[in-house]
Amino acid sequence: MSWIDISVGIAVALVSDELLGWVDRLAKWLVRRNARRAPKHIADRLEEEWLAHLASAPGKISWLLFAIDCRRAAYVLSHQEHLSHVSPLVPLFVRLLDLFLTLLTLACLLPIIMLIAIAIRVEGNGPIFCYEERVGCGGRLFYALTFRTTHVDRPNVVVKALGAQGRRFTMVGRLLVRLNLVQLPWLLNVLLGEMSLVGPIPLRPQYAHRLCSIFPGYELRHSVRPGITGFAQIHWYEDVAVDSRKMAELDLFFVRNYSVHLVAAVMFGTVRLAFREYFNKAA
Amino acid sequence: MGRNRDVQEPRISLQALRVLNAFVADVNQELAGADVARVSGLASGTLYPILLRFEAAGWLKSHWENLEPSEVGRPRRRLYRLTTAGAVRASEILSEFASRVLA
Repeated sequence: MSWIDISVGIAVALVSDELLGWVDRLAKWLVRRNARRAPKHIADRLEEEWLAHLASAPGKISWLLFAIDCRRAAYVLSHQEHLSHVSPLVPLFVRLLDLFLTLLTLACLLPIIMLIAIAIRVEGNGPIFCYEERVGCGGRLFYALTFRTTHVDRPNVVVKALGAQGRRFTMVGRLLVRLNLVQLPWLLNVLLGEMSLVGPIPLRPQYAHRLCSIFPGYELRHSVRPGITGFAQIHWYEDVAVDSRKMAELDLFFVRNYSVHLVAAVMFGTVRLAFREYFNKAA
Repeated sequence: MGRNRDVQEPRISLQALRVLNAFVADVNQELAGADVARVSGLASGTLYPILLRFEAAGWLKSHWENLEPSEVGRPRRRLYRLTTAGAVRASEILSEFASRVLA
């Protein structure tokens, strides 16, 4: 055996030892992450319970398989908790539909998104995106992305001093508002699994908290991912006189009757409204 | 666990039968999730929803093992055992299943 064989043998042993050491960390990280996907009130318990289970698994491959399968457990538990009245396949199918349509839309709109991003950067200092905290599925908070429409270096005092209406908005920002494109980056939230194409409006935490205290059972709206469009939103668009009580009822109706059929109906409803709006403007 | 499932009888699948079977060998034994997984041969994605469903139905009860994780160098295990009601229903269900299979 030559010294080259011995060196290669030692190198392989060292690399495999290093990789196996990382499996341990990766499995624990996966378990913790998957436990957070379970309903909030049992997440801490499951994390500790699963980490204890992991410690008793025989080998490194079993560790990884166990950790990965905890994602399925978290999904089923979350489903049992929030959407036990529908088949577990419905949210899965909707998620696949979301991914397919979002990737398709993003691919088509990529040049426009790039153009908007460049325009925002060229107009002035500041980030391209803004993010706001919203309540997502299971009551978990996430950051909803929007294009930045306002000057970052122009505080309210300066805006008041300038006096003219809209000075706080950038030129690109005003255009984006007029074209209803400010929330286009919500598609990225859909891709990340924080939002869906169809679902209740993503609410700010304080607003969601207030509505939940006013309307009993309103927490049910957090059983599904918030959406870019939704059952309540298209009703509101048809009749802006719809008040928050009616919106709450529509959100709850949507969750109680959650199905692929209803999601598809809202999608078609939204497309119909968009076309009607376009032709009304054109006329 | 589920707000509206507390009074409902949990759904019994073949996997659920295997979980019950792991407990009925000795109704007083306390099993951790890993023990049940070993006896029943179920993966975590199937096992834990069933354990929590049975616990919500009052068939199982659970508690943390009584030790300090820092002293033993591992997280605490959650131990499950059958309740009286659970033991009765488990033996009824398993014997009904056995009679159907043997019939």
